Amino acid sequence: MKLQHNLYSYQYLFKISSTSPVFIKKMITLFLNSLAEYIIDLDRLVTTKDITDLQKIIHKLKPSVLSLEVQGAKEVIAVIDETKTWNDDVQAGVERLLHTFRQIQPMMLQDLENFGEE
Amino acid sequence: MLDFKIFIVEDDKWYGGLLHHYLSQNPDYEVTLIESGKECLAQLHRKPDLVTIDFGLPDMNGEELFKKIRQALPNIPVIIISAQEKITTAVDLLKMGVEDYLVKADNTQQLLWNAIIRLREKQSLKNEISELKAELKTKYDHSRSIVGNSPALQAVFKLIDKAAGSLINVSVSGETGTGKELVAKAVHYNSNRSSQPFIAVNMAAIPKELVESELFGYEKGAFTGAQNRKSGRFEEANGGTLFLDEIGEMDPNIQSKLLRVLQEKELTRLGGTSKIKLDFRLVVATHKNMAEEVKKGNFREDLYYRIIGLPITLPPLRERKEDILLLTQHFLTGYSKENGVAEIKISPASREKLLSYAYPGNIRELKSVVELAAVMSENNLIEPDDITFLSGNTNDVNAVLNSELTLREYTRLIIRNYLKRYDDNVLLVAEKLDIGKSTIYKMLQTGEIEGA
Repeated sequence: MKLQHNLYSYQYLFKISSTSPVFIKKMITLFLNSLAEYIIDLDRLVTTKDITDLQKIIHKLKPSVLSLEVQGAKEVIAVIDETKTWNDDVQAGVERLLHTFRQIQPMMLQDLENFGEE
Repeated sequence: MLDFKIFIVEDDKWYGGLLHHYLSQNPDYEVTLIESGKECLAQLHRKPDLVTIDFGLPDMNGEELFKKIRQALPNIPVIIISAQEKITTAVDLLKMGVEDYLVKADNTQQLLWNAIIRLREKQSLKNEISELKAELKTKYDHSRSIVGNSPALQAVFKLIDKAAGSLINVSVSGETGTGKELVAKAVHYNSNRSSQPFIAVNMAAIPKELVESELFGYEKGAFTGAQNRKSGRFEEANGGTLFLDEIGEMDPNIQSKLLRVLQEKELTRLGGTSKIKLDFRLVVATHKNMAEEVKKGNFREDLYYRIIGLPITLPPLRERKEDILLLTQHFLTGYSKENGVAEIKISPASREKLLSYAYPGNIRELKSVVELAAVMSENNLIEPDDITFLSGNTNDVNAVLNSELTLREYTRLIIRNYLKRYDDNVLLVAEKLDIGKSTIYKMLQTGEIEGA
């Protein structure tokens, strides 16, 4: 399995996995399940612009997306953590996250399918 | 073997999975992932050894869950793991009693791993301290620590029980080596203050000029050389027992200061201004007759009445001869155990020799005599020649007379001595002592005396 992708990385997972393929597969599956929920939630928030709700979701997704080094996520999270109101930066950040999530979802599904075949 | 139960309360399955996997690498840990505060509370009957809580749970926050866990299981350590880095939240939670506060980051697993190791070390130390305290309590349970069946000692045991059951001051008197400090410890460790400190101070062992700073403590700069603040022995004994041995040696100046401390139940360190509240039981001991010392003007009368409390007088060993063999056996058992040697026995003649002596150094002297005899013995049997009395020769007339034996015991001792000297020649011994030979034969027959 390729560890380093352009939009995300499995380096951290491998580092702490003690080379357990079961664990790595389980963690990717868990992330993919959550990712589907995040996409739905963020999509809704682009319209409702509820900053409190957004911060709750960010709080939840932060550990996984940072560990998987999802491209641009760190900067977007920093902006959302700092702000108290929904502004243009937040709007742009959420849209950027959504875009990235939608891109990585099929890539990770593919990784999962290929996992163990290499 | 799984012996350390950890609950990870984390609603983020991904992060919970990470922690679960990481901690499960230790085969000693039984890790359970729980997704809500309510479920955690429902699982508490499983008695976890540690709970880690995500601060931002959906059904209740970390603080609420921590408080509820504390109510149900007050001694279970809780570690909060949070994505928020607010220092004030962390400080507040630590003040409330959480064990640790970790921020979710790349190295959280490692930090948690280390925190658990520290926690287990701390718990192991706590357990060790509890065990040692329990051991101390057992050690100074007077039925074990003070050996003897004599009526004189039974009376002492009753007084120890009475003292232990109250907070009264205690004054222990008795000749040197009678076990005054053991009585003080028995009072302390059998009282409800047994988990608090027992502080012993020998007034005769502290140079006069240091007594005040030793007892009262001092502030930094109180005198030349006082580079740091130091607590005194009074303060160290707070909540527990202060044992002042050889109180009769106390300097008059210190006597008046001690009186003030006892009256006001507070003190001021040397060079200090603030008052420190005190609450300790005082046990004093002396080999002197304190009433006499008061009469002579060597000891303050008002202090005497304040410290006398419950007086316990320890009888000298020569007045509880029935305990000598019991004590001898006790010391021999201790010797064998400490030195890892087989049980050492004592011949009948050696018993007689031990019983014939007055022990001016009391139990302390008996212990030394017995231990020396144990070292000198051959084939694990103590014979009379192995026994050397430390404070005098038994052949010395004064020493023999000081033994305070009965006339029958003296007779036995003399006949035995003569038989030894004249190679068991009964007729010659009877002639020398001007007694009937049948008297000697009868004693030999009944085993009251033995041939050399």
